[in-house]
Amino acid sequence: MKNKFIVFMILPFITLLMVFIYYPFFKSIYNSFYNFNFNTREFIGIENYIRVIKEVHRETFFNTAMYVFFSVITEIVIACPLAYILKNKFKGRGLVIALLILPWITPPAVNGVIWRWIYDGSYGLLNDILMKLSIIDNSKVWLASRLSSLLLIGVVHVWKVIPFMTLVFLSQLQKIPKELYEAGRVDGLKENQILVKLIIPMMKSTLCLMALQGIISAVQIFDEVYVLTGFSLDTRSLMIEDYLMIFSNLKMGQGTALALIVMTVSTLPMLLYRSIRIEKEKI
Amino acid sequence: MKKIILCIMLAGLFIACGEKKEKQVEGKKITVLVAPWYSFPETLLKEFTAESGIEVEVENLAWDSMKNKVVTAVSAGTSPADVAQFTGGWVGSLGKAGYFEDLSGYLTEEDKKDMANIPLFSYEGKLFGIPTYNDFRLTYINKKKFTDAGIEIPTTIKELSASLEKLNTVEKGSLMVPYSATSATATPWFLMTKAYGGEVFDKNWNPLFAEKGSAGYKAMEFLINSYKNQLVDPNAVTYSGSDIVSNFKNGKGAVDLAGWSGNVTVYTAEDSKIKDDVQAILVPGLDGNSRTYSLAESFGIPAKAENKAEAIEFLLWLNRKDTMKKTFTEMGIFPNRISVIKELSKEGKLPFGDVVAETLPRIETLFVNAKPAWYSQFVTETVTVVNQMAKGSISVDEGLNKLSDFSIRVRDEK
Amino acid sequence: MNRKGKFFIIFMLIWSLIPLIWGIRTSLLSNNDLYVRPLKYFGTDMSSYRELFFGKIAVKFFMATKNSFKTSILGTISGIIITIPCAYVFSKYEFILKKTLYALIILVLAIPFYTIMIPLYRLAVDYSIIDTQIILIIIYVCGYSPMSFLIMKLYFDAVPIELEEIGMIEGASKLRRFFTAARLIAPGIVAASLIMFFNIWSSFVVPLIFSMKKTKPLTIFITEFVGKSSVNYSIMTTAGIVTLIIPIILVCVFNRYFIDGIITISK
Repeated sequence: MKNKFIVFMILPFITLLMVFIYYPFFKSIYNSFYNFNFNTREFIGIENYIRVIKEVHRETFFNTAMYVFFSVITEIVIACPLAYILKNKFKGRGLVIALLILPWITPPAVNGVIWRWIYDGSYGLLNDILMKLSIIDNSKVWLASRLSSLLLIGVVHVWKVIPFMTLVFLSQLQKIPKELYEAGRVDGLKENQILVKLIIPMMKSTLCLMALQGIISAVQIFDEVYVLTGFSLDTRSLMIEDYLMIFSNLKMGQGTALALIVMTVSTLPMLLYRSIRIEKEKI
Repeated sequence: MKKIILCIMLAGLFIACGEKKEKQVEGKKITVLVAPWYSFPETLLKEFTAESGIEVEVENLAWDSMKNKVVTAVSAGTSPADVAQFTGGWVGSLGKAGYFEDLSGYLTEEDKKDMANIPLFSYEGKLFGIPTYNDFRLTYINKKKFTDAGIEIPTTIKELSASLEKLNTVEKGSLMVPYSATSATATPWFLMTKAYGGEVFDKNWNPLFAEKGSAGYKAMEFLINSYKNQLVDPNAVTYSGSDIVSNFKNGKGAVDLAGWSGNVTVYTAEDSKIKDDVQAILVPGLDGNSRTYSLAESFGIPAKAENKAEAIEFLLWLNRKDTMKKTFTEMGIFPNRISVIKELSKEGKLPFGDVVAETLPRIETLFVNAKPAWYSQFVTETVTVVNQMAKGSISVDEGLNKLSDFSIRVRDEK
Repeated sequence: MNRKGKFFIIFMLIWSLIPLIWGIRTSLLSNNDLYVRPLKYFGTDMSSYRELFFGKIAVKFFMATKNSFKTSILGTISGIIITIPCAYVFSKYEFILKKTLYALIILVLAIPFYTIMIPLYRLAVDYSIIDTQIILIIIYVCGYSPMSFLIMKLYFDAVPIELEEIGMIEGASKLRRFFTAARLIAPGIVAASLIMFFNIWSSFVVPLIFSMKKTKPLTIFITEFVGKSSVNYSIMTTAGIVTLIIPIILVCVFNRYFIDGIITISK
């Protein structure tokens, strides 16, 4: 009886995932060992992977790593306290949350266009404000030098992702009973100590999940980079490299190989860490 | 709470039901997948339907998006539409794979002579697309700035360089050329290589530009030094082709070196700030010998399309002289028939018609042979390298050598 | 809330809104005015808005809005309905393969779309469901539900065991216990739904490949303002700003339910 119930409850979802995600996924993996040319197909083993590792522009690794570090750290450091402040009711909270969510629901195309007109070297808001505040003398072309463009693109990405993380943290914070906060205050702890010593340990699994999501999202960064700097090697991300392999070079096999490598490298550490932790907690 | 959920579910059901009520259209229909600048006016399409009984469903997608879609469809072994747009760069790679239907049998010999760019879309004797937008490069200048500075219109590269330097003393950033890592950045270099009297590759696809003194090398030096000497706006490393057009149209700069042919209408339009000051000229060449090349687009019919016969009718109609005139006057699509260009020029409907007429015989294909299968890769690498060189991360020598090695590698790859 | 908190909130609001306000300003300027110095901070040119709502593209615009809305709602409803039972079972029961299946669900988050795009496209064409709402909804459900699943599972985890045990003693059927629990995590459901809706609403690559004229959403529609030689940023931004309106309305409406939900243990 119990088993039937369980199966009934999980079957639709699992089946959907199997058919529409995993079947194409394994087919892709299978395809990555072939050299595709629309009509012909030849088995070439792991050569796609070797070619990929040899041909991928080295700069993309550095760039993507920069995006990941900057994004994940900034996102969590901002979203956590923000959610903590927002969990208590205050006048206008609904409106504040509604406004804070806007960056996340802005469509990607619009995102790029808006920030383009902020970062533009001649007609952008950033230059204008900095000049008005006398911080710089002349307009700078921010997107011309490597470090500043990496940073600025990171900012656009983070701007978009923070609301999402804040929402998830907020929803988890709701579950923590008020008594815990009371107990902390009674013990004489200040607000930020409560946050750090009591709340964060309780949110470990959510933090892990968000860190993983942050890494994945940053590793797959594409729109922001492309709209602001095109294919420039200074800022090219792994996903742009992958995109070029598939749609420009028409090398499906290599493109898939690269995507798989990226996926493995970005998730493996996190998943390993999680499974070790889960094991530890069971003991 | 429950009420809201209920409402949403009902709304969902209504919407789902509404789906089924869509009418099934009787009669013939074709799907056309093209870039946004081919947003055919309803009236024009209705004329076609009235004549042929075929309904046309046009889908406009931004060029990059469309490319993605086409490639995905092709990889999955299907056709993205009955009529699909593509550029010369795809002829090699997709043509080899049997993606296109051969259209050579549908054009008369006279047509083939009248239409420009037929060789661009031919592959091994088969015609894979009927060229539509006759895009070639032309140089535009802001005549007022030239006259104010007392300079004559340049016809040689030396004169061009001298004019740019003189104009730069009046206002910085006289040369308008893109250096961002987007596809339009490769065009000025290709164009200038021709202007210096050379080619990018020889007929065996050996790269000629890494050698110092070759046309390609000199062309690159010209472009990079212009940037370094601030003859170009420093922002240009972030400008794409369309940024150059928008800026020039608003009065910035004095020379749009590798301008689009279609801009004869854009720069003279009502909302253009330079509509009275702009002038099209022949691309300045080494000894006054002007050369340019074509970047035409064309419409083709994928081999796996469903409604081929109707699609062919549509293409032939589109390329009739009268339709072509209408697409130019109503949509700005630069006509692909020499006869139409001459007629429009005589009727005064083609701005700078005389310059265009002079340019026509000078339009070449980009490379000595038809574009190779690895053309896209080459362009991407080119713009990446130009971007790096302009920013000063690598020297012209290093950049061109890198590009040369790259092209040899992709050329020899299986 | 103390002063530091207030400053932080204000800072975050400014940081979140300035780009959007700049976007509104861009939409209120004609395209030519964008290339002017000194910069114009305010615009009053409504021509982009007029063009969008009443001009030639109005029909396409409304169609795109309808499509986005339809897909997002249907996708969210389907996704949530399918995932709630799953989340419940993973939270409350043990069974063989549980860890594996759990890992499989989470792994979906990491799979880049490019790796499944082409076989999926082939699949869709083979079964003639390309360019239909169905294929889009299926992909969205498969792609975005794992996140909803995780959120709701975390909520289910927090439902105290006592409630379960009461249910068991009272002899309530498993199904009944499930519905009780589901009702208790209503705020979690709202949160997961909102997140799913917004993910679908702003989705770009999926509809790019899998939808054609009939189902084209707003995110793709916006990119159509790219001309052959120039980009009309003004109208692009206008369309972009307008696409924010529906989500904003939704957030305002559902805010209350989402925020005020605290699990109340009633006996």
